[in-house]
Amino acid sequence: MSQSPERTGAIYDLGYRVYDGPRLGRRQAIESLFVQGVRSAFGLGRRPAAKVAPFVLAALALVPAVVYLGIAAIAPADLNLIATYDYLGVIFVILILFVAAVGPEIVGRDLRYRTLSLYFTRPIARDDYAIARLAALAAATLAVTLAPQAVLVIGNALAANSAWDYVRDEWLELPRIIASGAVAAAYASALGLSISSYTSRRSFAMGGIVALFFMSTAVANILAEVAGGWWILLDPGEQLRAVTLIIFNRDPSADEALGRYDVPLAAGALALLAVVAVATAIVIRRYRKVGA
Amino acid sequence: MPIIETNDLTMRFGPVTALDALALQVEPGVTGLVGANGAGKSTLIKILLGILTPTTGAGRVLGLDIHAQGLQIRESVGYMPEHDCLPLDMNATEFVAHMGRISGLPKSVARERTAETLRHVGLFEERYREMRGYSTGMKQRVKLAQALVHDPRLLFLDEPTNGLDPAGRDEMLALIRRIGREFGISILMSSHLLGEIERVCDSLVVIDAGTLVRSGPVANFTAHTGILLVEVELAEEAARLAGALTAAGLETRLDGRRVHVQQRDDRAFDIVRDAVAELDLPLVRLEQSRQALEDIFRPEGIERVAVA
Repeated sequence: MSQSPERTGAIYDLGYRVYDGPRLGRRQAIESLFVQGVRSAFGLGRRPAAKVAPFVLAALALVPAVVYLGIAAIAPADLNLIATYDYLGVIFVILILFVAAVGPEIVGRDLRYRTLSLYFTRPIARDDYAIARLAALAAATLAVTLAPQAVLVIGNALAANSAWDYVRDEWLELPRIIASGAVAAAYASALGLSISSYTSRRSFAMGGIVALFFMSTAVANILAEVAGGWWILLDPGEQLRAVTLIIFNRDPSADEALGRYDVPLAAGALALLAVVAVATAIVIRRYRKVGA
Repeated sequence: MPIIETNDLTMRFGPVTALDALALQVEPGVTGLVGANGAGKSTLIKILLGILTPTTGAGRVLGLDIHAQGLQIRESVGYMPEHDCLPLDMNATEFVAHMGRISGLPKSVARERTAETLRHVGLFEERYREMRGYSTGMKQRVKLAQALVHDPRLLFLDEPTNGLDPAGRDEMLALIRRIGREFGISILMSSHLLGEIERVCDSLVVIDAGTLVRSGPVANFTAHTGILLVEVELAEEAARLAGALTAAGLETRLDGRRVHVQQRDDRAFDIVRDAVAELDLPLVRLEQSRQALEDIFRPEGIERVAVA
């Protein structure tokens, strides 16, 4: 408190101004929580160190797309290395790591710094907070699930003999790409927040999320081998794969798990929906109970 | 109309009863909420804000029901918690503007009011720095600023001087007094330090073990139990003065060169003045005994209430 009294006095002379304009209420509050959540996901408005993990992971998700475009530029024209419906599978690990790195940034900080008591004493409901933060993580995760696909589409269009023809032939793919990317982002976010909303410690949250995904993958594959093919539906990657195949209206190939165990894709989609519903409920319940 | 009203408010945490059928009324102005640690001050504030649900009982804040109209209440109040609550990796400007928007201010208004509010609380060029590097005093100012940015009608300040050094405490108290008097915002301020309350507040609510001990204007507290201290130069003069005052109908007690006068109302000042003038005594000191406010706590166990 080093300012001099004269200076304080001079500035105090400006006086206090009453605000009697509109108060925008809950909708804007939710919007602000959402926007601020996306910003903190990428470390915007914060020190450079906070930007490293999200940007590196988002860049890593682009690597397969860029490599593909590089090969396509020098290789024969019809080489199809990564189909659009396979991309999510290729970057699945990066998707998990991104949610594990960013989820704790969005909600863990509010627990760690105890800012929740300030949010919960403002004109929002607790559920609003949960939904806004969930939406923020999902929106940030689109950087991983959609950005590479966008690069692929643009790259392919430019490499094609006629960009216009390419777009005309492929435009039906676009809504499918967006839908599958959105489902993947929502799915990973709900699972990620169901864990990171429970701890203020970033390392616990990250470890928990990574462990959840890889343990369930391992358990699902072992059980599918010894106890029956349907257990493969416990595998988060396969749940997402099933929904992606449905969206792109394709059948699983014979050499991938869903084809090998001959599990209906609809069952995989149901499993995914159930997981999203339960995880979201866990997040909402957490914020109804948490002390502020 | 009272700004805060509770009726039969009870809060139990398992076997612990934090508030026990508390009934109180708080009028507009700056009100001190006093009690020992664990008396239920923070619990009461949290219930009024709607972040705790009372076990039983009802309450109104700004005329709004705490059970049914929590959102409307929280639109018009500000809250400065006792504990740390600042995201230390943000800067004060960005954080306070963000909180202003959560409270419903349009974007440009939030930005303007953030700049003004931070200036009012006395935060200048450091407002663009990460809050991690702030001193306790600066952090307390930001906590106050985020409670004030949306121009609330009522502020809840939970132990606002916690952790401050004497100079920082004086500045914070001056700021609170200013917010109450000049900004015209009602304040409920909890503290376990009586001296602070006496300096800042118009009225006082005393709770102990979750029940109301007393409430009313601060002046009442001193008037009811107040002792007027009159000091003259010689003991012999003091004796003569005591005699005159007793004759005029005051209760007095002689203590060397001092006369303790039981001050029932403002008339006591006039009687003392007239008696001193009549006897032509050299008056050394005339003051209300500093013990007055603290005396309230004697029956409740003064050792549990720190005196600043």
